[in-house]
Amino acid sequence: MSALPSAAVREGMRQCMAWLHGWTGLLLGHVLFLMCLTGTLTVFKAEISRWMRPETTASAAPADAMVAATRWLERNTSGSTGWFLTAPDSHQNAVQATYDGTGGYVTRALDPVSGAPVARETLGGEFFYRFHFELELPYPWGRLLASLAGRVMLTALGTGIIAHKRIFKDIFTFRPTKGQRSWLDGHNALGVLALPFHIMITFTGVLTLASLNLPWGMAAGYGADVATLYSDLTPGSVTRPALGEKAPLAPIAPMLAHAQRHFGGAPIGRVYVFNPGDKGAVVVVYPSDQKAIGYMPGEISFDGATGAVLKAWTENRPAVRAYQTVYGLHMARFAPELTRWLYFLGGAMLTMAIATGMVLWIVKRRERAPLSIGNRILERLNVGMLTGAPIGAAAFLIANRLLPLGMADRAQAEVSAALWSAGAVMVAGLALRPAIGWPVLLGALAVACACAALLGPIWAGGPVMVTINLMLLGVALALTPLILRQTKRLSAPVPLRRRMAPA
Amino acid sequence: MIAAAGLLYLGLFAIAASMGRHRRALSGPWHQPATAPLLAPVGWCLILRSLLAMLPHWQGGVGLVSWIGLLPLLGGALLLGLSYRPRWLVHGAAAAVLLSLAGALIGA
Repeated sequence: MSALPSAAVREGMRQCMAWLHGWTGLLLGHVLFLMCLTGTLTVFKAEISRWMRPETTASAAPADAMVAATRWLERNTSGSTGWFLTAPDSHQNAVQATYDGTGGYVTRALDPVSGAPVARETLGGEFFYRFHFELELPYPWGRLLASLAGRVMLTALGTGIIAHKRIFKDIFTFRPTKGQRSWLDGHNALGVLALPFHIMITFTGVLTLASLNLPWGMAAGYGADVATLYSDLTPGSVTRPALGEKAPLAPIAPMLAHAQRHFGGAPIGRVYVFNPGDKGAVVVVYPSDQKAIGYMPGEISFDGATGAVLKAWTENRPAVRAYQTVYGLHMARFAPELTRWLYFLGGAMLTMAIATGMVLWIVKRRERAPLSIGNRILERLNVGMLTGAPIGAAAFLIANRLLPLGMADRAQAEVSAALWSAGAVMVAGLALRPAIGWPVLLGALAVACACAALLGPIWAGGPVMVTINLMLLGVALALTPLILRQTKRLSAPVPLRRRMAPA
Repeated sequence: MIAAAGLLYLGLFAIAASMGRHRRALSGPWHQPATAPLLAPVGWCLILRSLLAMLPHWQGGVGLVSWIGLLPLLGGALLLGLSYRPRWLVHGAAAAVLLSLAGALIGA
């Protein structure tokens, strides 16, 4: 066999992969951009929540904060079916609580000292976290789309390694201000330098939605019997119905102290109280998952009325531990401060790799021949989406500062502000000529980031507040040269096409 | 982690210096005929050594995850340096040697 056919096969294979890489990226690129952007912000979910609640500066030990929260809930809710509380830790100072009071379930941040909901009603970083895999779509469509997008991302990563043939040779190469060459260099570098991270985060991300995208094992083993599935999956859990007989909740502090001893000194992570105020109440305590990668390593349940231990469970089954480790790797709750920053960097690089890929698709075709109508629409969609999503995020932060504190449905109004402004930018992106759209909308993004930083307390609340404000200003500052270059190009004569289309 | 970061930088630096494209930007005594062919293998060994330096901070995989995060940080620094400030990278290599030694001494 000569070398010729194998080279031809290799080239054919590469072209196939390039085709797949381009089209998978193109079809769900915008969804992936949204997911990666919000996912990257979610690394600092707790810190963003702190930034968005500048009045709540008090802090308390996890157990004390839980006692305060349950005390407040006991006085202010009745006939509740469950309180789901997440304790404060080194990243967040408020108690995250989901509970049903009058009407349906609400999610509120509770003050760690008084236990009452904080004045500034907001979803905080939780908005980005939810958006990351639910995309503001009704259940299960958002999650299904997210899991499809995750699998597409995995395909795009795999094919990208083959399609971009020089990524490892050109790993350190970036040639600025060279049109298509620069975009390609940037796209390659962003993709390949953090490739292990990209593969890890995409793979673990797809697996977090495993019950949706790999349901067959569960269906084969359990069919429609979800209750048995659940009790087999979490043998530590105690399910018992409300008895309909009133009984006050036993003091929670001794239960927490007992739980802490059981967990070997790990701080309290979460406390779930089922049917509080009923004789059949159950208090479940989980340790903090900041100590190891594995998520939910154990639990201990108490009888809510007497405070006696019902069941204690430490998860040791290898398959479950493996899944929890994969899940924990994606959530990064275990990560120490520096590692969180590295997660943030990796996420930001993946977000930018997607954005540069989308732009590259257009730039490549524009340099060869006049754009087709489909690509002209795509070019405008790119402008709208790549600027609209971050502007929406910035609008969310601005709304947090501007909306009055006592407003009804305040948290939802912040979300609406984010979605409407992102939508408006999308429309503007579609309406404006891209040469004008890019500088105008990037300018709007820079202004929005600067406003979010400068509107509110700049120093109050300690280093978290300052750091986030500085980061927002940093984004605005980093965008400025980009915008200036584009406005300069706008006033310059029409650029020459480098390569003419064949006649 | 300090030693690991220093070693990883040195490893990436050596690999970049071994590449024809970056030879001029990262020129130095390591390009003498005797040492030039060793740059790439030494670079890979340094990267491996950097991963080994994470072992004391392994903590059930947290070390590996952090190391994977260091890769884009230092690789990105090299990439931007090569495009805009190549000479800084050579000073950076000197600093990385000191960092690795300091990290190894204090066990960080």
